[in-house]
Amino acid sequence: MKVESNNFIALADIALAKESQRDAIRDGTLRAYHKRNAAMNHVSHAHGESLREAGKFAKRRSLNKLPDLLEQAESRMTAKGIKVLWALDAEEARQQVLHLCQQHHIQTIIKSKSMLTEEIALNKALEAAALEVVETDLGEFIIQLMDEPPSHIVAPVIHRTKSEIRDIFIDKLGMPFTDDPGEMVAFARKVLRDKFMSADLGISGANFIIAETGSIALVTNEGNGRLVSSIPPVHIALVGIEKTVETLADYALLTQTLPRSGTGQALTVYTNIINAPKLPDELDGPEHVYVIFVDNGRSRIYSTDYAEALTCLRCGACQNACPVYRSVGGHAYGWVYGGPIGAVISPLLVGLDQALPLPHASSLCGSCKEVCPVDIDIPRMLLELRADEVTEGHGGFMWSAGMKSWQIGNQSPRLFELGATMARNGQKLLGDNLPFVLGNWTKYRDFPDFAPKSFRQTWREQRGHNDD
Amino acid sequence: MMTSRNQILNQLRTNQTPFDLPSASPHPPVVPLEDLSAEALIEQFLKSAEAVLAKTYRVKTESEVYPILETLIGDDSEILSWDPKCMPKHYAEWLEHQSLKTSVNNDQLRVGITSCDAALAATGSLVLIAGQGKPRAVSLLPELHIAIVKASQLVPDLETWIASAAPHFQDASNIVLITGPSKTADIAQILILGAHGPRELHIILLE
Repeated sequence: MKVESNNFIALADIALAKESQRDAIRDGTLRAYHKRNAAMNHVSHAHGESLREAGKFAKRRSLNKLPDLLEQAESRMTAKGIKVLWALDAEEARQQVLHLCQQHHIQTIIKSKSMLTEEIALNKALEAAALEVVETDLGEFIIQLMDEPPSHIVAPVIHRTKSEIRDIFIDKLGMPFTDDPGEMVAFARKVLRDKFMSADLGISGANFIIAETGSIALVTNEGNGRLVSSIPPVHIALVGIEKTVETLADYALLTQTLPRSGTGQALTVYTNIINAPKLPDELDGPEHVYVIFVDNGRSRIYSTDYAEALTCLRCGACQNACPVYRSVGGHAYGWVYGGPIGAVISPLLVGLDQALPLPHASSLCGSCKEVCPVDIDIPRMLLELRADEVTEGHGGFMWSAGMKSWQIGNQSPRLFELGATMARNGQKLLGDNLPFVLGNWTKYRDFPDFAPKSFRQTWREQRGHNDD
Repeated sequence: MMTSRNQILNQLRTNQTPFDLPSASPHPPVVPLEDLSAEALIEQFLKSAEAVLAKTYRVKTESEVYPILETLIGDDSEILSWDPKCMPKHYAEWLEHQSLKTSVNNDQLRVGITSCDAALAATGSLVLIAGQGKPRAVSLLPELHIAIVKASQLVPDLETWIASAAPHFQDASNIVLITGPSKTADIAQILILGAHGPRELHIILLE
């Protein structure tokens, strides 16, 4: 997917102008946010916080051991018949999948939802090779019909209304007219069921790599994750290396806090663990299972101050809590990952120069950090990214000149006092509206009134001397 | 030319580990249960299962299971089913008596019947371990999934089950925890059952 993150402001303006979309996103995220609070704090707020603390510890401990755990996972998977591949970057991952498709004479592919496969633009590469790819997650299926990218990590079509979805089903699938969402889902179920039963290959992502047992684990609600990994004769799972957890106990905790945080569920309907291809005495299951460990920049981020971004479970809770995301939705961020975590990892993955506005798409309210099941300090990283922008020369002349003036003015008591006097008198002239670009600040706020006398003046009058 | 694998591992091993951590961190159960008596677990299980829209039935003897199955199966002459050796004692006999044909993969059939390998009281979940006689399709393809659970299979929660489950991860290709019928809220966050998996989940708890 082409990176359009530098157009954030323009894309946000477009999003803000679409009223029905704004309503859809706001309602959807608010609902999920309240569900998250109820589910994570179902015993008490303190208990919910202890779960976040435990999750944070589990992911960080696992990440500290990441190279060893990846080797362990690989060795245990291989012993059970899973074939493990390693992809340094997006291109290598795509080539590995294409190669496997050739090897297994694949023509039709069913996919369950995977943000990683969006990140590496897998579908386009498969289609370019004349392979039929069908997204089976209902939300992904809908946006595939609409030829759009997903707008939310967990709820891909949160930005669309029921009528819009109805119309695309009628238009592209020939669905008989109905406004009943149950009938719409039943129709989609039938269309997709045929694909499930006849596909040559199932492609999925994974929510966890469990090192202790050499397994991958998926969480889904619809059943498509199970179908994709059970019916076709070949299953390929692509998974980011950072999804590794050390123990089954870690997995048991996180596979519960992930859905509680993302959708307010105690567990998703299908919590699925894949250990091996089908055994000789089994009647169903894939004959071949491939797991591709994908790096694509993660090992580089691992050695930086941004490593905690790699503990992300991709639950979507931060998106639901963020006032910015709630207003503009995911597409405004211009790439695969939007919202608070997107504002951090998009610049880290595609390069800061490709996503300059994103670290600024935040009021630093901290809601994201509060709801994160592994307590990622997103606000800290947004600030650091803003600093990185300046040190990497993206500050811009106005910014650098302004900051330099500020520095000079604040280091000299005389200049400071002169500036303050000018400002006080200037306010008497200009009222509440600051001039030029500063006017953006006062467009929606009143500038606070200066006190009639400055502190320095009062000090002098009361103490009778200067403090120069 | 270093393989991608080695490049990745080398990059990860280049610097110090990313995080300074305390030596341990308390690991509270996600759903703490106070009463772990057999009766309390049964009640918790049924309550949790109903909360996720499964339909539950509680019976004291095996013979009470079959009328429930008959009602749910209705006039269907063929069902998806696990092998009778994984099911209650008189199941094979009952199938014959009902002249029911069984299949392990026909996706046109409406009903699928399984037992389970364990059940989690805290979340109302079924644990199904794939294996001989226990094909995945039976709990996945039909519109109605009926699961027969023995009360003795109940454990308090996922943490408890997983603490002794490691051998299954070695021996079995696939394990699934099923918590309610298949659902989606992708269309305007309206909850709809039966997205791709079963639309109805019926759990018969046999004490």
